[in-house]
Amino acid sequence: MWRCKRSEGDMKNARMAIRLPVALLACGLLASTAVGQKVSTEEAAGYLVFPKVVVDPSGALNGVPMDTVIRITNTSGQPSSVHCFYLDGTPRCTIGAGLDGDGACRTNDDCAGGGICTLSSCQAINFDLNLTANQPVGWRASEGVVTTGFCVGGTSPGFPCSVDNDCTGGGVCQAQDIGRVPPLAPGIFQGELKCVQVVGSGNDPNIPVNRNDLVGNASIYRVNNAIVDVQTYNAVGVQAVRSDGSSQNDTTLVLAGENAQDREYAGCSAQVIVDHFFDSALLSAAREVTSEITLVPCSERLEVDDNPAVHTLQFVVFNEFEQRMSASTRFRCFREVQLSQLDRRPGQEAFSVFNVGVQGTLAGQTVIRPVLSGDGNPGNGILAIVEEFHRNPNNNAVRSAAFNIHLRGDKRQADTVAY
Amino acid sequence: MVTIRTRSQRARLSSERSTAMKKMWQAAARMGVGAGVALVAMAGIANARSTTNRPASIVVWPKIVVDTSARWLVAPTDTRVMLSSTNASGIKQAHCFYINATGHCSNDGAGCRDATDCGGGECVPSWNETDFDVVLTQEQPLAWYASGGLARGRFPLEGPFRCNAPFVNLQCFSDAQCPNNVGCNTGQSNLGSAIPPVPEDPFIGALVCIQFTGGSQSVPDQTATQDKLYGDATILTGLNPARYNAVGLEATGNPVSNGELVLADGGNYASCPGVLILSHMFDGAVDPITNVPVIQYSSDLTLVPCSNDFSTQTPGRSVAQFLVFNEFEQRFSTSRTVDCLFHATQLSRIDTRNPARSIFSAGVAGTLGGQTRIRGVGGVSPLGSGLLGVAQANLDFFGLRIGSAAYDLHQQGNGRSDLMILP
Amino acid sequence: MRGRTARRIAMRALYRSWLLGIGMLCVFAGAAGSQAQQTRSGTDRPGSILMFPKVVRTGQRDTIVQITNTGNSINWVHCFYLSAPDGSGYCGAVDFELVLTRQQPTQWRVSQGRRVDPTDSFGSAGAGFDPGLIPPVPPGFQGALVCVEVDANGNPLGQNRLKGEVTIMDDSTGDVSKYNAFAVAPVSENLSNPLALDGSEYETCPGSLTLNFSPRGSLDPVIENLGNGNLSSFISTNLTLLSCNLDLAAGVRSNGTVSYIVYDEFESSFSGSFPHQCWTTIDLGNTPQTTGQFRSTLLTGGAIATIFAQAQLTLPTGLVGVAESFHADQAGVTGSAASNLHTGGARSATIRLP
Repeated sequence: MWRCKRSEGDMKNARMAIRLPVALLACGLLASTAVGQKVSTEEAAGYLVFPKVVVDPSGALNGVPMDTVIRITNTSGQPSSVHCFYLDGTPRCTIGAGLDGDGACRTNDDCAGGGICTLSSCQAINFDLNLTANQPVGWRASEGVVTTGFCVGGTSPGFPCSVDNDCTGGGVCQAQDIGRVPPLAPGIFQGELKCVQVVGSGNDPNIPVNRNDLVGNASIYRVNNAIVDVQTYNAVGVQAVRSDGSSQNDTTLVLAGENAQDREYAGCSAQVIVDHFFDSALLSAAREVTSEITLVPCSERLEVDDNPAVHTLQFVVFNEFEQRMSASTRFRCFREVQLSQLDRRPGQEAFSVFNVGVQGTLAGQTVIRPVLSGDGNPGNGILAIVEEFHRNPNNNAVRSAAFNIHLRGDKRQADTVAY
Repeated sequence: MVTIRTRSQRARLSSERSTAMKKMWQAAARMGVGAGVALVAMAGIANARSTTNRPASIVVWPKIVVDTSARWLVAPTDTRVMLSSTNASGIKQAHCFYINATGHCSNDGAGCRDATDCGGGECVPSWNETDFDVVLTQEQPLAWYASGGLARGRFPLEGPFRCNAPFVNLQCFSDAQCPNNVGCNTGQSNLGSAIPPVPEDPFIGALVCIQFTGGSQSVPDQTATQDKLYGDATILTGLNPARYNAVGLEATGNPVSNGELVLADGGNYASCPGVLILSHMFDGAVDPITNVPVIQYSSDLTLVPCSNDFSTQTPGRSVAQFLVFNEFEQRFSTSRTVDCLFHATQLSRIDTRNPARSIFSAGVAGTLGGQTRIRGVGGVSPLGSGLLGVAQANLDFFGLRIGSAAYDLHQQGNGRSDLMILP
Repeated sequence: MRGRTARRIAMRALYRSWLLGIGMLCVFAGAAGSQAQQTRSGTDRPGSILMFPKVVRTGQRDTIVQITNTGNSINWVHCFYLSAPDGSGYCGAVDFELVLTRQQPTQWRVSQGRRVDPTDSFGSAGAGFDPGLIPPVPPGFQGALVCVEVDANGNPLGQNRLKGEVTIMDDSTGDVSKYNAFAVAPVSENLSNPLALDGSEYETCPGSLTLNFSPRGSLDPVIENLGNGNLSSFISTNLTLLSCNLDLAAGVRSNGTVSYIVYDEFESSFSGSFPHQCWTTIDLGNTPQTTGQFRSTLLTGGAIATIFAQAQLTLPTGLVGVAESFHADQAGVTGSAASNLHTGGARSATIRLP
């Protein structure tokens, strides 16, 4: 008995009929997983950069003790693992104990016996955090996180603790283990913090994951018994290109670049724009302003490279008369500098293109452009924050504020962060 | 549907089936034999490994310390080096290199291990090597102090010997000294050996010895009697000894060419380990035995690169990545450059100048014990990035050293290719 | 038979071409999708509409506004001061116009405004090309500033060249806070009044805001450690919100409710809502609608047991905002810091120019 058998052609047509909706479904998935990619100080991202973290419990740097409170929040309804790096950009004396006994210094004058104050290395220390759904966490950089809970009740709720005795006023210690963060005190620390959202489990838990769930900000305090000065800036968020929760291939983050297939994160901008007051501008009889900029590179070879690349920057400065001047500087791994000291040595700020005495107007616009160097530098993007210091000339009291810079343009060359 | 077969058909089918089965088993047997042969063949290569408890052809002592005037340490310090041959017949020659990694302070030029020895200055690293030969007789152990070395005339088997018959009453050191060409019966001796003292005091560095074939055309030994050397070192600080085994790299049997020793799978010697594992107490951990708060642990660590170019005096260089785990499985990491030799007088000075905030500090880690995994990366081509090392656990009472013990690091996996270039 | 075969072949070819077309469409859709969801608006990029949510001249506090033309051509700007709503929820608007030359930065103190005076001395507050006559705001002013790129005729123009910052100063204590203006970028070259912030003419406004904050009444860990805390330091946060729906022709009047969820470090969540008009400033934890959920357990009715918390604000219409935290020690010495809020999502809005 012959059985009816579908013809070859009918089978092929049937396969086609199956493929079409599958293709449509795949198309939908593709469109849904392709998300916007930005470097932003507002939107949640998978890679956060805090350009400035400073700890100085003794006040040796600026006369007033300093500390930084770092906050990171998981904005999603799923747990999130984070792999973070402190990078130490503290200049240290080649000879002499410096300001803190470990050689930390601001200028050569802080060094004994002809020593030079220089940034000798960018030591990286990393640690891991585990954030539950929607969990905000915070810590003092000087203290880190070396406890396993927070006080509840008593007179110091929310303070870190490991046992009930750590809590004052009858509080109890409730367990909440977010991980362990090394303290940056005692001693002076100036540097940055970088955090990547990672898989958190498996053979290599530090593989980056394609998610954008993190936001962060940092508050830099200058505090003693008579002064309370606080400034806050948002962490710069670099978004992953995809947001589907998949794991990446390796522990090298590729930020943009010409090859679309290699891109894993949004790219750092081609230019950075800073609106600022020129140094020594008098906003009023009791308010003289100076500004400091903290520069960090987009590309890093964390814990792999002991010889950080040198970055060259060009500055184009406009005043309110539309007059234009320029300057340039070089840095490696971390640099915090007063604007007037970008092009002039300490003591000669009055002759800087960033000084009101040269520019003649209060406000200025500076466009910063990284220059591609020929030393095999993998990428030349930069990130920064700016701080304003308002000094009362009558009593030398200083108050400060921090703000994020503006970004403009895309550059073709990729930046990479390897760890 | 039922298929009916005749008896002859069944017999034929059965015969065909059994033939097919036979062929199948034969094929399987061939495969099995082939696999076995392959395994045996590979075993010869896979056997070459780095070790701290087997004889080998390259022996490395990562830490040699001499400080006879107690400039660095609490008491005068010397290192007693022992090198032994396990060859049951015949002599073995070891060609050795002292690697001097003693830095010098930027402020006064004195020798230093790190910045803590310089009283405010920086410890500027330096590197140079001194090579010498040691000839060992069968099964001979040989020991010397690094501060003094072992000069000609102090070796146990240097003669004088006796001429062959009939001039057996004549003493000699060589054939030329015996009449009538009867020859000098030197037998096995240490003739040809001379071990210099370390080049400076204080001194920190390493020692590398490579087994050579000996004789007039002496080359790195890849013969059937390879892997006959082993060694250890005892660091004596006052009356306190700290002993560790030297690290051995076994030979593969592949002849060395152009004086370049390839330390890799398929090379001339075993590859260096991929990861070194250091089990330790965190610095500042209170001794759990006595539980007295003022008795605390600290550890020091010495790392040396596997690769060195002795011909151009180029030391190996790499970046050591440290992954630190505490007893809660929490993890930190950091890294440091290993430039010819890396020595941390305390683990808690690896990542910071202030031990109190180090990730190696008990106060930061939160537990007494820890595990640190060390991996070398980023070597300068053509040299590799492999590392070898030794640690020393110290017990301090109010900061005074009351005891210490050196120990080898565990090893895991195989590293990438390293290169040792002989002069 | 032959016909059927040929038909089948043709159909298969058609299917294949459809699949190929769908594939191409997918690629373009993916790219376009990424482009459409990729908003360039924010506080870290130039734009065509600048929104400064918090401008104050109260007591000892004053504000300096900085605006910069980042382009190489002249930029006309139409600006509006919006005052806090009156009892009926109406936000009054006062407008003025600026002209910025290429790359020109400009600034003025809101209490003084800025005159057009070419004789300003070197290094003085008015030195530089005066952008236009800028009126001062009256004492007690609390509100916002909105600036829009226009052409010489006052029609909206999307050059995407403006950036701005605000510095809030306390002249009695010297304290200072600073934040970036929210800049909305144009999407289309064809812009019209009213301005459609819907992704077709201009980018959208944020649909949600995330605020990292410390609950009112929290002890400040740094002041307790380094300063004059003595378990008596105090943190408070002021949140200022500006609606993206602005009828600057007839006056701004919009009402809505902002919903929020607050999470502390123990993942405990608290929710609530508060009303919002065209412009709202609110001391978190100090108003009836935000008492427990934004307060530390150290204060009566407080629910937050940790120092660090986050609030996710869900908005009925597009909103932009800025937060200002105040940190006081035992003696009342206070330091303030302003920061832009984190954003997410998208909401359409409309701005009508007169």
